[in-house]
Amino acid sequence: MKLRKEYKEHDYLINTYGSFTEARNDKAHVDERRYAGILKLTADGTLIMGIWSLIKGYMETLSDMGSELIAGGIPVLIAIFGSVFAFALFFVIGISFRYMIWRGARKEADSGRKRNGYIACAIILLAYDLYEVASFIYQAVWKGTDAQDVLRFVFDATSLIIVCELIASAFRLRKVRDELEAAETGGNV
Amino acid sequence: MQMDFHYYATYAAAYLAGYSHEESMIICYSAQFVDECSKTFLRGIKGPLSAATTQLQEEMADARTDLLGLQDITRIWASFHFLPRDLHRNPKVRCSRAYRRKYRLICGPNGELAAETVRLARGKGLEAAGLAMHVIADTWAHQYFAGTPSIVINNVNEYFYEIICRDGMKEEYKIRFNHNPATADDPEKMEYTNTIFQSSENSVMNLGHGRAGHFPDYSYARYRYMPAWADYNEVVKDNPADYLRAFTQMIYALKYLRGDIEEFDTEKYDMDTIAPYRDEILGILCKRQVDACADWKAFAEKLSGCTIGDFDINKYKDEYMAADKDSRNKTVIGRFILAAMSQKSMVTNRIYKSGNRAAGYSIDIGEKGSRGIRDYARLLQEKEAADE
Amino acid sequence: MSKLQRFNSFVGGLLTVFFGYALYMAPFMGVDMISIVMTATLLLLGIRSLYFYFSMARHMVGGKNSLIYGIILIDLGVCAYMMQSFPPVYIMIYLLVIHSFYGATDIMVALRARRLKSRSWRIKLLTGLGNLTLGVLAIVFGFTGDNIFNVIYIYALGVAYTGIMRMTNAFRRTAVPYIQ
Repeated sequence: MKLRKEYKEHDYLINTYGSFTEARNDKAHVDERRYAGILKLTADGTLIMGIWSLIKGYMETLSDMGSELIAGGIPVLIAIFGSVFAFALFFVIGISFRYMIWRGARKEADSGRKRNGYIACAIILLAYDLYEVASFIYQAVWKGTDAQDVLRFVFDATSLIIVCELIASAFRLRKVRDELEAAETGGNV
Repeated sequence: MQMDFHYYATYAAAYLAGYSHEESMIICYSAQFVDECSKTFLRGIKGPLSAATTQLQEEMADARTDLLGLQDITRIWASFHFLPRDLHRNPKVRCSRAYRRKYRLICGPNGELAAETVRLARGKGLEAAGLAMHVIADTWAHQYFAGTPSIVINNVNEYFYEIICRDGMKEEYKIRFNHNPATADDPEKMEYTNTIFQSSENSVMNLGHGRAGHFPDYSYARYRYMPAWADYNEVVKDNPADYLRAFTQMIYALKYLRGDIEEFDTEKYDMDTIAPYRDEILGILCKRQVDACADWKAFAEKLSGCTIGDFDINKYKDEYMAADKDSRNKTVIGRFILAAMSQKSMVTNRIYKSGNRAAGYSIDIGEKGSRGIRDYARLLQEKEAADE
Repeated sequence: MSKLQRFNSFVGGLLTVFFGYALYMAPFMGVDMISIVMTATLLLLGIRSLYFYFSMARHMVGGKNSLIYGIILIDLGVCAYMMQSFPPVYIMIYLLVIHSFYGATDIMVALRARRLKSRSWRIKLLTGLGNLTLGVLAIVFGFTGDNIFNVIYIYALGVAYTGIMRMTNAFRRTAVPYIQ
């Protein structure tokens, strides 16, 4: 970023307290920084949590496959091919989807240009997370649950909250930026 | 701040305050020695380790971050380099006690502790005066950072812009930080080295302005950034203006220590004394260079007409080593050690009395007897000798 | 340190020594015990991170990182618990990674300290080499499965040493005298 403004040589010395440049700490500017920050952070969170759940899912698949292998249920070649296929599938579907959200959100936070693709992806992810949480609640009510399931629920619920926050901060950021633009150009929002 | 200000500019301030060349040399040596007096150095001269005023890089790498280790780190850095501005200040938002304790350690000039630091040095010799000047100068350079490892206070993020004034125009550039300590800071490319991000609250990487590298120490730096504690508010720091105030406050404080002024008050700057040199000083402060030693040295030598030797850490080492046990406290390093322990003891006590245990426990010698760290017995003996 | 902190340090150290001793006396339970400790450690780290978020990091710019980190650590803890049913090799790989990392860090610190003429570099180098050896032993015994007890014995000694250090810390003089 490069801004140019006129200044008077040594005019900072005229002001006893301080600075020749004022800090931009009015509500609109602070909110703009806040929502841009939250947007980037939740984008990171979505990606990191996504990567971890993929690794977890992959490990579980492998462990099931390993048990079958030891029991002699699956030939080795099929096991290797299966694990590579599972990894590729998980990677392509999971990571690339979340990567799109991460990239879009960070770009919007940094550049200020509105992007809608990542919000659409985030809404799909939100729907999926909602389904996960609802199915857990259904299971807990009708079939009972143990401590391990509860801890997993905490993970899914946090993932859901982070996606919600990502979408909310994206919309709030747009609103604040519109207001700031209107204030600078003297127009209305 | 760096050697340019702590050594050469402190010499100039002392000389302008009325000290002789020889006196000014001891003052500026002591001011710079605060950045050199580590436990490693003290082990080498068999001095008390509690008098350490800084930690070397490898000491930091070895430093424990358990409770005692953190208190030791905080005692050193909060007492000598990041003097807290207000030990009773509350954040704007409701927060936990742990957060409040760290928040209250944020450094800044003109605080009650800064005034106490200067008053404590009065009548304690030139070494104590030099040490106090280091502390005062650093309150200006290190403001908004805390002398304790804390990510929630000291972290900075990528929102960090340098403001440069060129040809009557003001420009803002995003600063790029890298974590390679072998890379030199490059003011032209706006590339600076900082410590790597560590999410652990108590990692030594999060001590002081480590996350912003050496950048806040450069006198030319004017910048806009978002401190971790400021809830998305930004801070604009204008180092040339701040350093000018630091310099003039040092002259005022040194005049007080010399006995020319009766009372020391905060928010007072001796602008009159520097009036004939103001443009020259501003020229040095605003020049974009990472080391201003040569400019400050030339200015100081022009003032006094004497040659100022380069700083040599071992200059007074032999004097201290050769002295017998009873007369060690009369040597330059001996008096510096006493001043350092006295300052550390005072700051630890004030932090402790404010209900904050970040710097550890402080016990009042008068009430409890000598039960604390043994090194401080030397300070007590000196006090008793002075009383007699 | 306050009396409570001294007490905590002493009791914590004592429990750690006791755990090391138990591991030494009953190595056949070793892998299970290590797995339980691993699970407990990860869960505690996760909870600590969440506590850190709610007590401090929520006021910090970008502090939500701690929340995400905490949740992932708790989930890792759950995974570690599931690993109990896995063969010992997985636990040993974990030990290898942890000890090799600490070992390499210690050696780097020691070499830097040596360059700067610090006195403590030899101890640090020995600790680093010890950690690295432990890591290598873990992988060797873990994969061959011949004598996994030896690794558990070494691990137990390391745990006991940590406990003793914590207990010693409880008796140190720490207060700074204030002389007016």
